Amino acid sequence: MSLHVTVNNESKDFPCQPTDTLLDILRREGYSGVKVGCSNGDCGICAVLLNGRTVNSCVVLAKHCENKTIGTIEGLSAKDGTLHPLQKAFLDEGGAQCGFCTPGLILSAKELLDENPTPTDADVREALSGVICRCTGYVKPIAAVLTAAAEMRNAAGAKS
Amino acid sequence: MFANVQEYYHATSLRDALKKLMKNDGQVPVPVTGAFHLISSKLRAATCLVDISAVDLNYVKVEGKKLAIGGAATFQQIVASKELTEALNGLLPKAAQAYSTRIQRNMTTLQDVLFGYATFFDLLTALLALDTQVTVQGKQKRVVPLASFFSKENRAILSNSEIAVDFSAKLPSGDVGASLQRVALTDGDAVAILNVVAVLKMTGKKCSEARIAVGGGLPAPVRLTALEQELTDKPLDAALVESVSAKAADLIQPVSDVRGSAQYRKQICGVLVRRALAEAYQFAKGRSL
Amino acid sequence: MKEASVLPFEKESVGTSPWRVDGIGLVTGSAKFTDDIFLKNMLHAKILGSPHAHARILEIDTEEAEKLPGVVIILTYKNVPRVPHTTAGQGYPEPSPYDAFMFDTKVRFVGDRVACVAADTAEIAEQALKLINVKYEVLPAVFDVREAVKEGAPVIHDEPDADGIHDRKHNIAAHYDVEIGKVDQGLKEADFVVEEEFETQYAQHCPLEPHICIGYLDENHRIVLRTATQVPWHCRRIVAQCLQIPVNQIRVIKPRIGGGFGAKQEIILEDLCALITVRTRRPVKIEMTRREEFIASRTRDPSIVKMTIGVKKDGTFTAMDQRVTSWTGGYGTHSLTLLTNVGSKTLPFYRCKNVRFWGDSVYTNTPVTGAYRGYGATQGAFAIEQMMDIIAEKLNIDPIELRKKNHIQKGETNPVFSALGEGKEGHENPIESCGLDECIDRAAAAIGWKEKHRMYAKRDPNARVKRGIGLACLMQGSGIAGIDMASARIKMNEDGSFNLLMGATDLGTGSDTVLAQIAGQVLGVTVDKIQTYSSDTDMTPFDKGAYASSTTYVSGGAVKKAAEACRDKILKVAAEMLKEDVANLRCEKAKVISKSGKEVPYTNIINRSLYGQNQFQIEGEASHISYVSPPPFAAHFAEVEVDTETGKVRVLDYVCAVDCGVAINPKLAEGQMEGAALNGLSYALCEEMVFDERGRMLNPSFFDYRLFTTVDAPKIRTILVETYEPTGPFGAKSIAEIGINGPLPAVANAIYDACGVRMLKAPFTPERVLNALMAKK
Repeated sequence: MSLHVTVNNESKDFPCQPTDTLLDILRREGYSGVKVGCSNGDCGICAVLLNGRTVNSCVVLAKHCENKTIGTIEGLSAKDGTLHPLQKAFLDEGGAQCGFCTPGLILSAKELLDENPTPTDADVREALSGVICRCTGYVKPIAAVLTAAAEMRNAAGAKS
Repeated sequence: MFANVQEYYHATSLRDALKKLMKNDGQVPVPVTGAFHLISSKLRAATCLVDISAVDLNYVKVEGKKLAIGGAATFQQIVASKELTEALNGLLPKAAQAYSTRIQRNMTTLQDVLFGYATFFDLLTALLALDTQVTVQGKQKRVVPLASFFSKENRAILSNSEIAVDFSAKLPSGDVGASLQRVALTDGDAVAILNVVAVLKMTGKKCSEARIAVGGGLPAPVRLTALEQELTDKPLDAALVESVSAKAADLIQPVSDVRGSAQYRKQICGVLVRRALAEAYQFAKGRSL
Repeated sequence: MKEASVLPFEKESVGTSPWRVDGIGLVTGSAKFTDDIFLKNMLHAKILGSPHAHARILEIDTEEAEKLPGVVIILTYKNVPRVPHTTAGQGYPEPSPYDAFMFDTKVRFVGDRVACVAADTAEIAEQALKLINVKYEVLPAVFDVREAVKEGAPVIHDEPDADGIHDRKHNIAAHYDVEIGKVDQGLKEADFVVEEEFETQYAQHCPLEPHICIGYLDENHRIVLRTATQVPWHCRRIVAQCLQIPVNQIRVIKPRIGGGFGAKQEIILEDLCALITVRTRRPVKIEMTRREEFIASRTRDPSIVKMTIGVKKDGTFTAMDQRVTSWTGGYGTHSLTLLTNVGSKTLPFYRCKNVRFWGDSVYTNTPVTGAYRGYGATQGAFAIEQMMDIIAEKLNIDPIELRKKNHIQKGETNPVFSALGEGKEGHENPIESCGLDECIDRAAAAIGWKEKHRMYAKRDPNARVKRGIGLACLMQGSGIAGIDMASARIKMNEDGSFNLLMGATDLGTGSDTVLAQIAGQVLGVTVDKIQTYSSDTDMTPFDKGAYASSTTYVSGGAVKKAAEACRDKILKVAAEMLKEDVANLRCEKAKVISKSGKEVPYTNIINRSLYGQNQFQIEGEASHISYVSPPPFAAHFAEVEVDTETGKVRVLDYVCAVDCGVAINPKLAEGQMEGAALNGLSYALCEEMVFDERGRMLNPSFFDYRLFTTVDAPKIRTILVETYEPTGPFGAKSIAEIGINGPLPAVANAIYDACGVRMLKAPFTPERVLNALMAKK
């Protein structure tokens, strides 16, 4: 059995069992930025974007994702390595410590900013609430998301 | 995981899904909406997973006073629904958001909630307060009150070959207000130590309709119908609310578990009922009791 | 008194917050954590954990399990060396009893090791576990330390070959007591005596990456352990001990780690991994499930801390007595040192001539407790900082004034430092930097202490929701004096860049970056010119590991010295090239500059020394150990709101001010405080491992074990107060642990301020607070 998906804008066909989780498939296929935290859908460490929405890949059945679009942290920066504003902001603000939850936080932020380019502090907290971080106290990750949002607004403003 | 599953079937329509679910050839088909965090115990015996996420059951509609939520609609869709935010001062989005991590809301559906019998959700307490009817499609189509899933006497349960396709409720109109009150160990906790929903319809000074539901720390959410009767057709004031709320604790049988003792849940029940009624009144009348 | 901040150096690399040297990998997903490698033919191993809290294993039958296709090896007590050891990642000889075995014929907590299966897939290994037949003789179990020390209590460690247990019969793994002066006399001299008993709960570190180890044989058939560890050298030594092979046959590599917080200062998977790989000649991975992480790794040690303080009307202390009874769980790892740390970080904090410490660490049939950020000081601070508020109220003085009057100051010392070290006598510890008063003043101003205190004092006593404000003052340490040693080596490359090789262990704390900045400050280059490689027992020189807040201070000291040695060589070559005296030369901005105005860039220097003349590799190496442990100091303030009808406590605002000397990387220093403070807040308000009457944890998942997420986290503000610690690299002290000790007492003091109930037991769940409120009525 196989699974046809688009991962980080690339069309892929992966061997897949009906019982495979999306997390199983992604890590097996080398997307090691998607991590294993609790395997119970509770901590957000395995979060990926599924058709633009964050989900805990450890509790999503891989075959459910047939013909869908998946985004992992590996797909966020440009092909030439240019960092996404969220990635740059996390580095500027010190938002990553051990880094294990960083992909989950950044992808959650991406879902938020795609939908709401002018989030408040409360909006950011709500959007990131599904990812548990034990290192940062969330202070700098939240600051990083707000910084990235501002920068993305400026860049969009400059373009138009 | 799920060692017996051999087939994954994407149903193309409701009829197609039901046909697959009711096949009687020794297979054990089970409906799934995509994630299995609420239904993993149901998948252990399954041999075939029937994916119903694409059979047009992911709607959230408000048409006039009628609310309809499809079985495969996600909690996040409820939170994001503009119409539901405007109805009943946003009770349902607020109740769905009490499961306050977006990642989980993106993949949690009412079909899975009922199938997995996860009765703690604030959303269920709110839907119960609204006398929600559930349309279940299996061999036959039946429409049952949501309450029937929770009452000991006629506890309906979703079988493997059924789908809860629709959750509908009539939204009361006029001077209406609703409130959700909860106490939880953390704001991110899907499971409240106790949650209470009150819906009030006021006609002048009188309460013409009262609904009070309690959930979270109970085996399943319940309606406090005895208290509702005491309020109905009565002029509502702080004293009445106080006296009615004081009786709430005796009407629930809470559990003792890692989040709290039964005794504590009883202690706060009256407090939350009082606050819920007061806030519902505030929304209905635009002023406090 | 404000500490004058005149630094004997210009901040160039130190005091800046460049991107973490490993940051790109973290934000793009290319960073490789333990699990992020693919090894062909790898086995997956699973551990069979005991279902009983206390039992003897009468028989284990693995025959059926071995027959399962795909099962390659099963380990039990029958086929492994029996070597008593400790799993504690501490310096040798470890101050913990040798009471652990790879597998024993007895199990001592639910989840204790019974057997280990290695198979081709994780699923097969899981299946095989179910086929192992174990016959147990279930023994009576004991879960509370107060019961475990009584006559007739079940003896948990009765095995004859365990060593270093203080009193087996009474289940006391470790004991320590010491008296300075005469406490009983001092209590008599007091104008009044305050006595109270406090208790903290079982909690788990919850690193988002569970414990995980991959073992394999390299191309020379040596064992390589790629493991999520805070202590590579202790790991290597203890695995060698357990397998009865020389240390030389093992290499330990620490890749990127997803958090440790003390949980990974243990050797709890590596011995199995090593033995399996040796016997099967195949790579093997063991990874804990989240449930195992809760019950079968390590936890915070619950403690009962009773304090008695004699006070004079003038606000000074005549006597201070501290009695501690801690849970060590099924095994005594870290038992003695966790115990003494309760006292050693709190008793010298306030001036007092007569001080007594008495403590027992007690075995119970519950999960094994171990190192966790704060390490005893967390429990001690909960007690002493509430005692201060109780005393201040009795004296009717401002709680800030009481603390300022009595806390240790720069230039002082305290006999407790020498009397109570890390499980034994310590070292004298004169304080050479203390910015605590400035921490207090600035944090108090930031949170609005005066105004809020005044405002809340006038609150309506019948209000349902009440607000209050509270503080806590803290002291920790920087490394373990006379014990912790680190070393580093730095070598120069053609382009004027450097390779910094150090044992120091970055758990995500950012130590690679901080240490690179220290080297960069010495060598006059930015961190992007310094490639760090750390924590590989073959390739990097020794480091004790990341614990006891030692990395910046001790490992940083080694890096500074190594960089200076390297710099001296650069200057020597430059002197030859410029034909000038070394004394006229200095390193600055990747050049050597002379007082005469002549200069030569690094690239010229290194190319001459690698290829041109008098060739040699420009490098420096050094070790460092300190005989003092200069404390960082902190003041934490919490503003809370208590719903007196439900008991729910919300933290509205939290300010922490810390004196960590000179902050090498201010953003990373803030990040440490913020993360520690939030962990402490979560511990104060909702984290609790709950057990049933058979010793089974009822909430071993993130669903049921609540910890703070972004929607719970209050606003946290961090203030870095700069002082200069002369014994630290560029004036730095460490900062990693102190932040977690503030919330328990600060929030408890704030709750008391709000509604008059003193929370003596943590966590302050709504139910506990409501019960306290009702008891008060």
